[in-house]
Amino acid sequence: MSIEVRNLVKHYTPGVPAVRGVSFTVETGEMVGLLGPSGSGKTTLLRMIAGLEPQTAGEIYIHGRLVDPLPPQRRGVGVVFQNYALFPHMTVFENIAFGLRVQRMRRAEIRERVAELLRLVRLSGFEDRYPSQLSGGQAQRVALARALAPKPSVLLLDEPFAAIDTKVRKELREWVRRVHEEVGITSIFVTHDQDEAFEVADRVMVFHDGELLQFGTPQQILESPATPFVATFVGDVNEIERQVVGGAVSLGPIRLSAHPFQDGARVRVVIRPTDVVVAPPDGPPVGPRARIRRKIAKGPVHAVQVELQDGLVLRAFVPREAQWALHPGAPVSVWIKDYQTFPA
Amino acid sequence: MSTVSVLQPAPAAPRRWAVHASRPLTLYLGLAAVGSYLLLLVVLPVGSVIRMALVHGWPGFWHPLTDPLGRAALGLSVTAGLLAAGINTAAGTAVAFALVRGRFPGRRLLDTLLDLPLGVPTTVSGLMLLLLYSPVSPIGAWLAARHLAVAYAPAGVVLAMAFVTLPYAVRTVQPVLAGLDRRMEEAAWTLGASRWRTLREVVLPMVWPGIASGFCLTFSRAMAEFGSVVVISGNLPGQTLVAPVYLYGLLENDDPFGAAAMSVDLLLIALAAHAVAAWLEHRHAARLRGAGAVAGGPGQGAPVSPTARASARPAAGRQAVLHAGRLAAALARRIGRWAAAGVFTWVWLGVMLLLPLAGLISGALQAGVAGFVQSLAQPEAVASLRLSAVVTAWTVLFNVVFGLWTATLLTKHRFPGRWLVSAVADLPFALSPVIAGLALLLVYGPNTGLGQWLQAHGIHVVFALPGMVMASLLVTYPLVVRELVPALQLTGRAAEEAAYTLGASRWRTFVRVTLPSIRWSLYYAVVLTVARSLGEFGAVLVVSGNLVGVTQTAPLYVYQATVEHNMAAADAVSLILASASFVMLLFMQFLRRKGGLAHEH
Repeated sequence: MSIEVRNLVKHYTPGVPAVRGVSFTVETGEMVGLLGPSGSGKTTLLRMIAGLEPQTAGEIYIHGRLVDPLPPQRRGVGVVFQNYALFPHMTVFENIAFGLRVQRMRRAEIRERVAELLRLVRLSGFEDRYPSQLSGGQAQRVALARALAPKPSVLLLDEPFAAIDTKVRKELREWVRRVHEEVGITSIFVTHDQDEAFEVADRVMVFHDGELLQFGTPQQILESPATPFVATFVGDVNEIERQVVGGAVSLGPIRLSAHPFQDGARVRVVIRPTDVVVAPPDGPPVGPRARIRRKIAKGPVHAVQVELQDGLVLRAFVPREAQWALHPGAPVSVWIKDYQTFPA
Repeated sequence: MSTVSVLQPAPAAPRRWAVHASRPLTLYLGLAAVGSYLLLLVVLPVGSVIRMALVHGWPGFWHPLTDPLGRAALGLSVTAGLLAAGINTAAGTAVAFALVRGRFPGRRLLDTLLDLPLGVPTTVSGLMLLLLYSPVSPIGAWLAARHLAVAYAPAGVVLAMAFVTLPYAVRTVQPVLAGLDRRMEEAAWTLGASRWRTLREVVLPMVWPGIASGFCLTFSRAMAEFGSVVVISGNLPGQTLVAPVYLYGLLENDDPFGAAAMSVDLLLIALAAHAVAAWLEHRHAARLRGAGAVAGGPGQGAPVSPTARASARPAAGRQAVLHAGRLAAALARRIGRWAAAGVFTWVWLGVMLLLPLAGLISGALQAGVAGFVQSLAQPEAVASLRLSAVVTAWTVLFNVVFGLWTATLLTKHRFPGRWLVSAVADLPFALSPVIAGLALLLVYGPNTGLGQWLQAHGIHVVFALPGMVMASLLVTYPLVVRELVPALQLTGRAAEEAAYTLGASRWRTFVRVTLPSIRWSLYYAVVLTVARSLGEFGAVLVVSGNLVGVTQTAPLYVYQATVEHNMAAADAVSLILASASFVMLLFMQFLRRKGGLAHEH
């Protein structure tokens, strides 16, 4: 275990918790994504691990050592800041060398290590540029090289891809993942972008309102979200609130078992669009009748809105290969492959 | 959050200047009005000073240096100005740090009081220092016993300059520090750098241009100082006589050529200081541009600017500052960083600001409240206060109209020579008040063609109210423009364009959309004008003729009373003026907070 956090609490103003009693363990060599909407406390958590923000309560261990009394200078943690915080008055070389000069490394060694890092981040030849002369992606790579220079055991990245164009962002995150593996470091990165978290991280923590809702592999989180918030946040889902009648909830003509909820309880039914199966009206399989309302081409699938007989609208993904007519107004049959119920 | 699709071309950057806003008619009207205003108020007067200095050809510039007294005066002005600027920059930077970063009791109070020297009339400032350090006061006597004279000595000149310019260095460094990205420092810490090393290698190089430009402005202002220096220095020729006072003496002795020559020399030095400050700020802005916002597209690396960025070389002065900082850091480790900063701020501002203020209050109330009231009730005192109020009212009126007009012209229109209008509007910043007075005298005075023509038509400018208002305007006008231009640039463009598309006329848009969005800045400019014109001394002294009960404003009355050793009268009127500026100060603080909040939205 590389990073262990126990019951971590942070109040910026007394009585208003920004982080409410969070505990988790990150294994050595793991890359963990910290996912949550803005203001959910994920950056605060990162800053506490880095020692930039004192916690109100709880403990932080890095490699089994309690680091709470240590200032950020002595935690051995590399940080890539949001917008990178490169020193504008220093060249790329000087930025990367900063942490090495602090360690009183010899000049020749510094030059060697900086050159090695620049090769790693594929920026050889950029030594004499100033940060204002770099593109967003380049600045990000310099920030990464700077953070890695003093050989930290833990790397923390705060929204590392937020300020970068969509296309470059995709390349960069794959590349950051590769660097993580090459260097063999433990990394935590903060993001509000679910694709980013699921694509890059070994495991993902979902944060909301200062609480850690779920910590698991991308698959675990996508397939069995622990709370309705996780379900809605990580995927584009249908969410319907219903009362349990006769052990089931009815969505128009569709009845779904509400086990284990009792009759009269209000439940939230969460259905992923991929689990809403849309078929030609004459089957097979034959399900309750519905009508197409809207169709949007969305990559490999058609996103459609189907309207059930009583007016309830569900979103569904239909594979593009579907040969039959999907035009608005067309009659279809619908059934639900999978769903989850949560207390309302 | 919003991401631009790669496939779509990025939307063209919005035109900086709304198309609607450049209708020729309003532009020409504005140019004509602002142009003539600047011509009458700035260009002609300053031009006549230069012309007068060149009456005898180029040697005019050297003329003041041929007189040993003039040489000594200029030397003292420059030396004392440099010293005062140095002291204020060093202490001011520390104070700015403490005010921005520190949390200590009284921080807000000190932050407010810091601007007091901006509002207090300079003669009152001089009087405060005189009361505190004159040989008859306890502190002055104590110092005199140790042969450390402040009053009537060069040290007093430096002290007066430092007092008057106290806010300048702090106020230039403060926004730079406040705007500094804290993550830069945090990045340095996580890379293992100590706090001291972070301060030295990350923070200081980034705020250094701000500090240096603050130094230049402080120096320029200190060198121009007249009112307070004239009161405390004793004006001993060759010893404590500074250049503006020397210049005033030449004027009194009917030597306009000598006065103009000295003016041009002072003006050149001041302009050089301003140019250096502007250059430093420009360079600083260029270096930091883009460093914060790094969202560049793929492969579109910013063009490498050919201007090589000179790495800051440690100068001897900088080394000294570093040593002092190391000492302070050692102290700070002892008692805690921000506690130390708080203590320093309290001590420094206490000695420089609170002590003189306390001296004034105790002086004014020495003879009890009854004596205070009696001193105030003197007909000359009442007349001077009333006249000051009248001059201030006119000044505010003209400043609001023409300040707004100028600022609108500069921000909402593009026209050839825009930079020239902007430069001329800024020029009075570099003028010592005495020079401003001299400049007006050389255009509208009794010895000029224009002056005589005006007089023949029954219009009295000099030695009358119009001249005094003009003198106040000349000194306060750039303050208003400088305050309004950024406000107009910052707000309103999108809102104005929205108003145009909704069918609102230009005038309606200006009144209903633009003005409300800059109202806090406008109020702030008005308060600045009131504070400055209530206290204006040098310029008004030269133009008014200082006729008791007729053209004697309150600061002139204070000066006269001090010179005549009528301390009770001087104290009483001073206390009224200081209180007025204190009220203005509270207003300023309130408005700055309001304006700051408005900017954040």
